Amino acid sequence: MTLALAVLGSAVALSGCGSSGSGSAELAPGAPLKIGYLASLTGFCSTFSQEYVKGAELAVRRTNERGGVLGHKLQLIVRDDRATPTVGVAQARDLVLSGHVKFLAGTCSSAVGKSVEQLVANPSHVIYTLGVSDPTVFSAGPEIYAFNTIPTAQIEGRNAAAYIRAHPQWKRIAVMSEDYSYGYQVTAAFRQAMRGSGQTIISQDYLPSGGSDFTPYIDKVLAEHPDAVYSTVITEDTVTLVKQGLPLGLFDKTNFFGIMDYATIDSMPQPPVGVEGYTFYPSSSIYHTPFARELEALSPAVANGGAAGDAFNQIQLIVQGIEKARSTDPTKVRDALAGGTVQTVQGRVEIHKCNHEVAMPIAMGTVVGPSHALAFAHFEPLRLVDTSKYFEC
Amino acid sequence: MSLATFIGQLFAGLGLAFVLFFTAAGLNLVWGVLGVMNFAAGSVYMLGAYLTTSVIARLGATALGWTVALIAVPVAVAALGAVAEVALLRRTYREEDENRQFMLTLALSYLIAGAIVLVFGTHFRTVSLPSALSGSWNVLGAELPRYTVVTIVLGLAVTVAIWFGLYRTRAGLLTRAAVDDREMLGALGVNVDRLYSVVFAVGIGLGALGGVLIAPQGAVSSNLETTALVPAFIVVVTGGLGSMTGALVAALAIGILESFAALHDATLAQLTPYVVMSVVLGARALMGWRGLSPASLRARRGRERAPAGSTAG
Repeated sequence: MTLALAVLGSAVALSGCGSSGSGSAELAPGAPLKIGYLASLTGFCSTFSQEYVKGAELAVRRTNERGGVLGHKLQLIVRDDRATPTVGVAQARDLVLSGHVKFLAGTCSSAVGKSVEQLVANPSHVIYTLGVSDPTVFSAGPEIYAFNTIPTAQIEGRNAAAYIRAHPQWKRIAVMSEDYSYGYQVTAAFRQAMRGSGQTIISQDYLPSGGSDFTPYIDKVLAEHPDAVYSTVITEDTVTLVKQGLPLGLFDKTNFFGIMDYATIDSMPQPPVGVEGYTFYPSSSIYHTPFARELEALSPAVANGGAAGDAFNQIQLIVQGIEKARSTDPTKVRDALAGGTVQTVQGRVEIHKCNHEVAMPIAMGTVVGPSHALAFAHFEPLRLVDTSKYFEC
Repeated sequence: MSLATFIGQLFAGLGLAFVLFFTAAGLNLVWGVLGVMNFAAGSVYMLGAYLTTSVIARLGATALGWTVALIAVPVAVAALGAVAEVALLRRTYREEDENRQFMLTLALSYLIAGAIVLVFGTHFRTVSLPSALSGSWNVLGAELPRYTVVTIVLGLAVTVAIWFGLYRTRAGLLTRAAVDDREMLGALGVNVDRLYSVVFAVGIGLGALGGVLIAPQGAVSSNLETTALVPAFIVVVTGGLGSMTGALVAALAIGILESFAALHDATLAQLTPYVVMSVVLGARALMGWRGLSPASLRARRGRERAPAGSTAG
């Protein structure tokens, strides 16, 4: 209720600021181009938020060193959304109304992203680039002003199903997910994509997010004797799952397939060698692209973190949109981006016109061990899956 | 259900129960003696886990490193607890408004959490075990992680130590007397202030010990605070405020039931602590049962001793 009122109030307030006219939507020549960046510096995903900020800062620095965009120097304004929708909306509203910001980016919280997307849509017309997994953020169609820079839960679930379906000898599949909306969305997409495969999903368990003891759940899954386990357990919960799963034989007794982010694997004293993993956070080290090289040259340590690459892409989307539109009018920038292609850390990728999702590749491979020098060296062989085939536009 | 599955789930439940019990025992001791509901218990648990990562980073994941962590971390955190009790908490005991104690421990919780972020950063940390404690033992077909065995054994040892300390030592006698009548104890010449400091330090140390034990089990992150505090409160409330026996029984019941509930449904398993608490509290309300707290046991014993028809006073 409070959130709804906040969004409604903000929309009413924003409608009076007169930014929808094409003339007033253009920045004055030479004026700084402000980008508001929502970072979840506190809250459930604070672990990676400093990386996001560093990646965004690198993109801004790179652009400014080249003279800015259309003669405008970029200015990054970082705000803490605390991974909380009401706080994110309040920060976004303040940036747009008081700071006269027309370009927003960031947040690692789908709930914040969804709320802010509603705020920045009609009639305020503010471009918002973010990387979140909730597909409903982008379900309103091509009229929205938000652009997604990572594969959604729907794409992730479809990709996982494609992998499992490629192993028809695995008849009994168990699913282990996070007990919040992301886990439910990936599992739903996975189940849907598994229909007609002849393989049976024998169980789906939602593990407590941030839980400290997964042993009962692992024991339960092993007692069902699945041929394969698909896990969408992420970040620190992956560490807990791996640490407690190793002595119980989770990775020896089943064909385990799940999210294995570089940062997570790299922090494990004993990674699950031999399991199949995937990640969609674009650590630059694996890509031989101009942006990847630039990011590494600017800051190798930051470049290895996947979140930094995501934030770098979010800022790049804004910059390239402005360049394509030859305008700082958000509506023109939106129209220039949708349906086209953009250069990212991962290379040139397509932006789907129907929902503004960027078709980022998913990195997959077998975990061979941690590498403190090179991100994704833990995947061997590394495969980059083109996710365009999973879109239904 | 096969025998191996039964053993595995029972074992997992016992491991879960004893980790719950450490934090709950610290919380309970402080409540039972000082009458203070320590909302900083979750932060203390988290601090114990983070300090463990530092000790292991310096000394290595060896037997020596882990022995030092198991002893030094709870002692160091307990010492900090004693300082906080003397400097801050002591001033609130005679306040009529208990909200001040609540706000103070809540503020301490935020301070500890903030300090952890400043010192250790926001990224999670991990520590590994000595190789001897990695892996598992196969018992009748069930894989029993060695480290869980250690946790259970240590949990039993600490439980015995708490019982011995409370019921077989002079300090324990004074502690139990302080629960009954602080003023009377002071009038008899006992330094109650010092006793309170020691009890608070021991309670904090137990919470930190829980953090040490959980550190190698998963990722050490800022999530630990909430994942520890809420279940610990549930254990304390279910077992009866101030009752160590009740806390142990509640922790065992919740841990084992949660483990077996996981066989059917993970969501049901997560609800188990709340279900157990609701059932116990409901039963108490319906049957007038006061739980296993020291006060209720004393009252019950008093009723049993009193001849039929006699009245108190």
